[in-house]
This record gives sequence, structure tokens and C-alpha cells, in this order.
Amino acid sequence: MIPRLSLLGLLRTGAVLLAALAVATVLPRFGVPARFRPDLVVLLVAASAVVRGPAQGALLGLAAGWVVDLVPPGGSPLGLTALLYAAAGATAGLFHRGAHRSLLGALLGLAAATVVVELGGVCVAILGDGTVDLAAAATRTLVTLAVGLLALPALLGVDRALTRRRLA
Amino acid sequence: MTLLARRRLLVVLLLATVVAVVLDLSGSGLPDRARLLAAAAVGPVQRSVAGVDRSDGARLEEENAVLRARLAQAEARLAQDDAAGRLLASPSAGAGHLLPARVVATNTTVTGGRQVTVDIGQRDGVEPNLTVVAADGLVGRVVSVAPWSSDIRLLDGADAAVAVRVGSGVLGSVAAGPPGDLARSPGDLTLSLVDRSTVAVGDRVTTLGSVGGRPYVPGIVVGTVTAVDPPRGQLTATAAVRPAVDPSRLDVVAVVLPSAPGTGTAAAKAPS
Repeated sequence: MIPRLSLLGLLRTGAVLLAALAVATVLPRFGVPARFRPDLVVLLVAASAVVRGPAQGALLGLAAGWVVDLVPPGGSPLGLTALLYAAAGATAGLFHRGAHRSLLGALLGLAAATVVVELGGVCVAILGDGTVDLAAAATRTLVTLAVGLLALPALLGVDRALTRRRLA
Repeated sequence: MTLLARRRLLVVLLLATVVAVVLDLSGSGLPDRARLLAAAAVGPVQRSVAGVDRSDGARLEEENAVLRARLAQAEARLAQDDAAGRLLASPSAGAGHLLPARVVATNTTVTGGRQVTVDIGQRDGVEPNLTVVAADGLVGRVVSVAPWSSDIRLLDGADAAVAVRVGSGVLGSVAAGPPGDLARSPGDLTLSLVDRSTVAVGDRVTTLGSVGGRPYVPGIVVGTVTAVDPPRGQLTATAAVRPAVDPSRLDVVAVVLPSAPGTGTAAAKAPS
């Protein structure tokens, strides 16, 4: 039952690791405040999930969430981000029939995944700190969607090109 | 991979993740070891991605920030009464060696607490539970140490409580989070005191210091009182404190290494 690790799978894992490092390290270095940092990891997860469906989306979300949890400073408790991103990947995968028809379906999938992640974060904040910053969560969702509007067609195109060359 | 095999793999991995979450919540050491391994692996990469500059200009910047932090500490001690200062000076207070560091990663996960990662670790001499300061004041304390990086818990994390001295010498404790239904400006901390009448807006809040200087050395500026909460029938009086350090703009910080026991501070050794 060990999955065969394809080149596309390796590329995706590498891309998720880079995205996690970029969000944690590079963006703050440029002075981007926390509420305006787009969630690049959910963007990558949703881009694959809308092409492949809920089960693959959930698997990639789980792996991506583990990477985000392990890259310092990481999340606490360890593994909760993985569950959140797995749910986000499954949600985005539900839109894969719509995504085949048009880009709008893919964008809706990305929107649903981002909302799942931010809502999950708000719930965890309520259970943990007791503080809720809904404005920051909403701003982050909008910024991620804006970046997705630009990046999603490119990501989907790369995915389809690599699949056509039978690398998947 | 067939659909059934994929579904089975998903269920197994989901269960493993839930087990990891439960282990971490129950305080087991295994998730911390996993985090340590990941930090040891990713630390050097983060340092190079963050573009930590080891050139002369950057080194001078770091020295500058460390000197400003020392100056602020020295000024705070001068402002106290000399006798009281000598009485309160402990061997581990203030005279410790300051180790400069740069912030390489800030916490961005939706589930994470308020933590940042800096680019010095065990190999540079950092130990857990040391004070971290910036040029303006207290940043937090070191919570976990990897070979090449360390994690710092900031003051506005939910479980951080610092024993402090306010203005003229009143003792209290500062923690994050609003008490009950009072609204706080984002980033403000809450000061809890026994006697409300001894605190005024504009009083400076400094650390009281812990036993052995861990996790907090005394005399570091935490913030300024911005508002005293009206009485609501509670036993402790509370006030809002604006922190001296803006956590969203951290760049150069310094870890206070403990001085050797028995060496004493400059104030204690000064001839009268």
C-alpha cells in the first residue's frame, strides 16, 4: 500500500515546503503585516485538489499541514494544522467537477478551502486564547483569493501540462 | 494508486494525525522531539532564506541594538532609589551577557501561539527559559532550543504572565487577554494589582525578576500603563498596559545569558 512517489508528487511536496518557508520567513522580512500575508499553502493545496478530487485533496492537505506545523515556529498542538488543511483540501476537491468546466469553479474551490482554514483558526483561537480577530481573518481570506486569482490559472496550467506528459 | 488504497491511506494518516494532536495536548515529549528534529533540519535553510546578513553593516546594527537595550536597562536601574536597587540586585540580575539574534520566522499558522524563531540556538549557548529583550524592552522568553534556532514565546501569548513592578514600586503581574468583558486595544496587555489607587496612567512597568533570573531578569521595561480599569467589584484591580516592544516589528533581539553565580552586579560591587 506504499504509494509510488511520482515526480509530480515530489514537486508538489517541494512547492509546499517552499510556500511554508516563504509565508513564515520571507514575507515578514519584507514588512508585510500579518493580516495581509496570503496563505500560499492553501493556494497550492486547493490548486491540486480542484484537479484531482476530494480524496487526493485531503491527502495533500494533510501533508501540507504537517509541513506547516513542523517548520519553526510551527503550530500547537502539533498536527492540528494538518487536520485543518486536510479538511480544506477535501472541501476544494468537492469542486473538481466545476473546475473542469471553468476557472470560476476552481476559484470557488479555493474560496471554500480558505474559508475552512480561517474558520478553523478562529475556532481554535476561541477555544485557546478566547480572543477573536475576525477582521484579520477576513482580510487574509480576501488577500489569498486575490493572489489565487492571479496564480491559480498558472498553477492549473502547470499541473495539466505535467499530467499530459505522464509525469503524474 | 487505486481509489480504495488511497482512501485507506487517508484514513490511516488521519488517525495518526489525531493521535499526534492528542499526544501533544496531553503533554507527551514525542511531539517536542519531532519539532526539534524539524527545527534542526530547517533551521539553516530558514537562516539563508531570511537573508540574515553577516556583513559588517549588519553586525554594527546588531551591536547598536544590544547597546541600546543595555543603556535602557542601566537608565532604569539609575532611576530607582540607590539603596533599594542594591537590595534588590541579585547575582543573576542584569549584568548577564546579551547575545544578539535576528528573527527569522514568525508564527503564521492559524493554530499557533504567539511565537517567533530566531537564528541562534544550542550551539550559540542558548538555553530554555532565558529572557529575550529588544532595544525598547521585554520581548518574551525562550521556550524551545534547537541546534541552530530557538523559539521565543512573546508576551501576548495566552499563558505568559510576568511579575512586574509599576512606577513607584507597586507589585503586580502582567498577562495577555482581556479580563471578562472589557475591550482592549489590540496588542495591549492586562496588569493585575492588589491596590488600584497606586497606579496612574503613564507609569512605567518593569519586570520584577524571577528566582535565578529565569525566566525573567529584573529591571526590563515591559510597557506603560495606558488606562486604569474602573472598579467592577473584583478583588484585583486591573489596568491596560501598552507593551514597549511592537511584536509585529521585531527584527534584532538579544537573549540574556545568565552570568556566573556569585559574581554579583556592578551595583552590588560598587564601593559606597
